[in-house]
Amino acid sequence: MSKFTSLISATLLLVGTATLYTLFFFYIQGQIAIAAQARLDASGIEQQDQFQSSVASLLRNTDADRTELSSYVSNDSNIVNVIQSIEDRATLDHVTTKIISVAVGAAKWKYHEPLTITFSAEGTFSALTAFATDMESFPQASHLAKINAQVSTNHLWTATVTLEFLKEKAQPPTQ
Amino acid sequence: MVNLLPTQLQKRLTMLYFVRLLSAFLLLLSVSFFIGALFLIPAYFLASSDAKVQTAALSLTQEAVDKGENGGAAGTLAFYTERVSILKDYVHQPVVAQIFSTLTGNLPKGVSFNNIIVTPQSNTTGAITTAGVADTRDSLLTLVRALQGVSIFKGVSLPFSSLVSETNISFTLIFTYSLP
Repeated sequence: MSKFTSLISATLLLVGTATLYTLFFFYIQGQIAIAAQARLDASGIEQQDQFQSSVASLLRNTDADRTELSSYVSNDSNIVNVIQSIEDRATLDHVTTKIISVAVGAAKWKYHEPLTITFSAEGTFSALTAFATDMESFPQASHLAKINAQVSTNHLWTATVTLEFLKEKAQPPTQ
Repeated sequence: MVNLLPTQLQKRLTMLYFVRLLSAFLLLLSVSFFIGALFLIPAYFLASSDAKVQTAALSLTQEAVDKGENGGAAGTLAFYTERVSILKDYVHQPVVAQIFSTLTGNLPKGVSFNNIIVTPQSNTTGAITTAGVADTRDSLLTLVRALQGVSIFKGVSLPFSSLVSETNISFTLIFTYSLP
């Protein structure tokens, strides 16, 4: 047995040193990979920050334009004003109106949704025509979705008008 | 030279020789690994500290970006990009007055409308449904021919069922418009 002692000892020593070397090697490799990934991530974040800075700068430079643009879009707080504008315009055009429904349509977009206002309007044919033109030329982002005009009584016409407005969503989506 | 040792002893000595040779080789290999490991020690510390520094730097960068005022800029840009894109679709030219006046302008004597429905489908196109009463077939056909002659109206045709009665004919016309 004693004649193999040196061989066994050398083998054990080799296993020990080889294990030590391998552990060191892979640990160092792992640390290098961690550092490289951190550098890459930091670089990506910096680039993202630079992009956001440039976007923020663009937004600051277009602040006035964006405010003006926003005045064309309805939101929860000014729906009443929109309805009031319709009624005011009807009064000017000698048309009697009655709001039938106000409903938010199916969301087609991420930050905006269509707001549909349906109302009836009664007046002479020419008054209704002028009123329809006014509704089509509404200062806010909107379009006439449908007008259904029918003869009622005493040469008066009654129209059911559906207007679709662009409305900002009350709850912005989570990013 | 003749080996006078007994054969068994010769074999034993040969075996011992190879065992020791192998032991020496393994020892040398172990020493090589050990020296290699010693040389890796500086790299070990350098790599460890570099990984720590880079990870800390990443955290600091992330914190700085999170605390920055530009956080929602990309979202705001997306919001306004969508708004501008949608607003283009909301630019519609007024059509109802033009359609109403064209319809009534082409109304022959003895025909009247009692219902006009206009459904715009895009900025320049849409559908029209009209209903009314005509005193005679001729007056109704005159209306249809007049509307067929209007360039913005497409697909004006009279259903045969509207020609069953000779007088006091109720009719419905369904067609489209396409503005230039």
